[in-house]
Amino acid sequence: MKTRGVIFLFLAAILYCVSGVCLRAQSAESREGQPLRYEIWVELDHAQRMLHGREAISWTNTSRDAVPDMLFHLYYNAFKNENSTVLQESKEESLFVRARVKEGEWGWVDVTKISLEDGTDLKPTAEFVTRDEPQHAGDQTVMRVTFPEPIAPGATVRLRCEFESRVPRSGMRTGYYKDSYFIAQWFPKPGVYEEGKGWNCHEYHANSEFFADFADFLVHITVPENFVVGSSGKLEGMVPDTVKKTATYTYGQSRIHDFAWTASPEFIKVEREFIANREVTSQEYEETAGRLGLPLEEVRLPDVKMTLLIEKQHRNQIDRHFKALRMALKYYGLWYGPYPYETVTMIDPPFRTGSGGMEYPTLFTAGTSVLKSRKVLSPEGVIIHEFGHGYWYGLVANNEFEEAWLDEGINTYSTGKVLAKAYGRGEFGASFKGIPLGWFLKLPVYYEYETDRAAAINIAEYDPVVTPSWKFYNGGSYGANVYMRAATCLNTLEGLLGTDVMARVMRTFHMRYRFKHPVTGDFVAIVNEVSGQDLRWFFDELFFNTLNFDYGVASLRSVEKPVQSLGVFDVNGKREEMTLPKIAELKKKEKSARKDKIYVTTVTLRRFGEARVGIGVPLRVRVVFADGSEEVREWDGQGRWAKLKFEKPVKAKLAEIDPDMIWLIDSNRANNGFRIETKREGVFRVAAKFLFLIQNLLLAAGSVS
Amino acid sequence: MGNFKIIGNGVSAVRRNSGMILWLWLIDLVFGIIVAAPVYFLVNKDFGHSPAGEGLGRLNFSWLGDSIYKYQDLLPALAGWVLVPALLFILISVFLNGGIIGRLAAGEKTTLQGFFADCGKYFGRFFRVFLLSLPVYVLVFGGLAKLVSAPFKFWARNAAGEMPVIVASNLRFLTTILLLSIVQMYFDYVKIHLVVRDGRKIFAAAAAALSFIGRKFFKAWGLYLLVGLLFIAATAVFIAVTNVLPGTGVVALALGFISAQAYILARIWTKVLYFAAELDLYRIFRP
Repeated sequence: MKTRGVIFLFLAAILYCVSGVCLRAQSAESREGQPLRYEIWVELDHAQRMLHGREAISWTNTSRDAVPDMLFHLYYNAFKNENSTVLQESKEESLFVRARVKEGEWGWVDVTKISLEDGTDLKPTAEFVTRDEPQHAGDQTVMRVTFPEPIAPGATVRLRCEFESRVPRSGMRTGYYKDSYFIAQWFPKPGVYEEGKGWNCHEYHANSEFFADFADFLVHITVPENFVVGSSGKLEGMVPDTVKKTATYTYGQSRIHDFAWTASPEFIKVEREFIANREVTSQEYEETAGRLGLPLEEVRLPDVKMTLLIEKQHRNQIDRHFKALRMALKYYGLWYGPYPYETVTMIDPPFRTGSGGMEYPTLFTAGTSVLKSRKVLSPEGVIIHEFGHGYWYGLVANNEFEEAWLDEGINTYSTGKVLAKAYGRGEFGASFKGIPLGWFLKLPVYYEYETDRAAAINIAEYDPVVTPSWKFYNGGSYGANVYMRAATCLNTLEGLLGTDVMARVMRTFHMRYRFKHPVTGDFVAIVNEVSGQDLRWFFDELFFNTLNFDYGVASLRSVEKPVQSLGVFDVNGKREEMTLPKIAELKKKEKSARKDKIYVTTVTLRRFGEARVGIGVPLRVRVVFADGSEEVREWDGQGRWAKLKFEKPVKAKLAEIDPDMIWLIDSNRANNGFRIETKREGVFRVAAKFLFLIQNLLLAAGSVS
Repeated sequence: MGNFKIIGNGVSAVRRNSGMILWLWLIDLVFGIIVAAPVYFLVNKDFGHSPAGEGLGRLNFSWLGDSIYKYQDLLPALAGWVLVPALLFILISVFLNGGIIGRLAAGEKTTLQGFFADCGKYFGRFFRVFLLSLPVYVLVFGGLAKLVSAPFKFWARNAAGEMPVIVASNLRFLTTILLLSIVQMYFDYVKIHLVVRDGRKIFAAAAAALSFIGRKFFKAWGLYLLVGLLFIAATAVFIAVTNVLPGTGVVALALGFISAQAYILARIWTKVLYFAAELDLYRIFRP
């Protein structure tokens, strides 16, 4: 008995240790992105525009907290009525027009049952919560259920849920039109539990995207049999039901944090392979490995199955879509890390479903139109951008509610680089009544960073880049700050660090935070680590503040140095007065002696903006003289102004601050250079064009006389 | 007489009065320079000494972004600065129309004195015609254009794809343009009637013009649209020339300016041709 007891205790101890190890291992694994599992069965009732769903959720508490409740996103309720946060915010910005909503077009989700695996009903505890400020009390996009007992650290809770959803006619990013559906943010989805802080589960906001935990998904989608389906994840099977005339598609995917799908009889489905060895040359692999300082094997890319669901009206653009996706897979893969999934599905968004230009894990929506100029990089830009989100929002899954720039800004920066590398400059995509103007007019061509900068410099003083998405001044400030200003700042950072160091920064950040939830501080730490510099000032000035960056040359003067000053001087013990006639005489003598004149050049530099460069990161100033010689000096840029003086036998022609154009974020590049000679050709050109515009306007006005 | 023949006669009449085209161009140019001058001085101040100024004119997002940042607060003032002269220019055009139609109707070689004498002679009458036209424009664009294009809108609303939306949008635009052409044509004939009959009664002239157009609507409208095609052709030629002009250099600047002014001249020439052809048609078919 005693022996048996000792053996029992021994076995129990081993079991305890093993379970502890397992638990720790599970926790570690969970932190890597798999604390959550979903199995969802959903049926589309096409006639009623309804989704009938069942959901099994398994969630492991990887924190050290005992968790008493769980918060869910119920995002279809954003389209339930005017009291939702998103519609309140949209009304404030005049984006929501009441007259446009017709009867029966609202959408919603009802959780009809929710229980623990053992049958304990949680529905009586369910309540809607609105925690974001300012409060919108009528919002129903976040639901809390309370457990009978808190979930202990390391424990797993298994939930069963049933829901009924009405698909909104055309909401933000999801909806239907005629027979076509794009279904996103559709299932009850837990928030992200943050140790010591509780659930991070924001309402559906007008100016924000999303945040969720990595999970394993298995989803069974039943639709009418003639519908073509596209979905996140990999197709694992299809079962037709000849009686009901439906088909059930099963898709599975590990380590993704959201799940979207689409169904329409109007789609053409095209599948192609991204075969890495055909797309990337060995030289490109070697160059990439060299630049990143990585072994060759780490930069090699996997093959990926590409699926395109395209509307019949756009079938002539199939090759354009695939080429753009191949370019995106290639360059995002080479620069940031190999694509970790087997599939990627590209959706040409169903007409009038409001779902274009949006990203979901392993699936994204592009967007094009029937009339397209080949010189305009659209749909290429949107394809590369939305695929690229799969790398940042999808894999380096920051909280888009709280720090959207980490996805949008980094991805805008990345998109610009891929577009430039794969296509060069694109033509400005102006159109009139749907007809591309590029068919008739010579429109400007540009790189993305140029348009990004144009938007970025005009928005600095509204909000810091790092601002919660729904707290920006308005949608324009949100968009211009988190996309364009952040991208322009990253391009500036690249100028400061150099292309290779920046490439290593981005690669390190991506791979280290793949399947995690980094914050801005993590990015700054990577920048400092990889560059070996303390660049916190850069982020303080440009990301955490509303400071305008503008250094310039205020004036440039070259004056002849006087041969002698006026006044009374002590010369050899005598007092001698220098007068203007005496100086003129001296000058004449010097001229006859053919001595060169000396010119004193004064360059006045100014810091027009509030933002400052960091201490120890001076600005370069280049002065070009009439004989073609140049002098380069540095200014620490800390004060409001500085004067640089040069004495040379020639006059200055030009002075430039930041001549290498490192500081792309500078809001006024026109004042970065000052030329003594006025060149008016460009000014005349602008004035002539403006004059022509006015003349035409006057004639048009006169035609009503 | 066919419309092509009438246009031929109109072209001859315009050629006989080519001096008038130059005066009209000069007035438009001087007025335009007065409006554009502050922009020149502003841009010269900010870009004249800057290397960035060299890229000005060719649309480029670098200087465009800078300009928006610099001048965004000035935009309302600039809009006002452009709008007021535009309104003033409507009055000037009312004044000049008297000279144009008066001299064309006289059939004599145009002199500056004769031109401005007719401008003054008909200004009062034409100004009343202008006042009469305002509610008609409001009525047409406030209601009629929407009503006529409603079927296209309905078609687009229920479209299954983009193409019907694009086609409908263009048809709506075209409908509006065609309506505009009818209104403008009608008031042209009101003015022509006043000059040819030396009448002073505006409503009588309006009724007479309505009667004339009622009888010869398709002939008159066809003529108007044919002259309109000449304007479209001139625009197409201008765009084609602009697309092949070099981007930089003093020669490019000069060529750009010359081609732009040639286009303005073509617009003015078309305007005078409208009156000349309509006058010819009116004389042939007047009651």
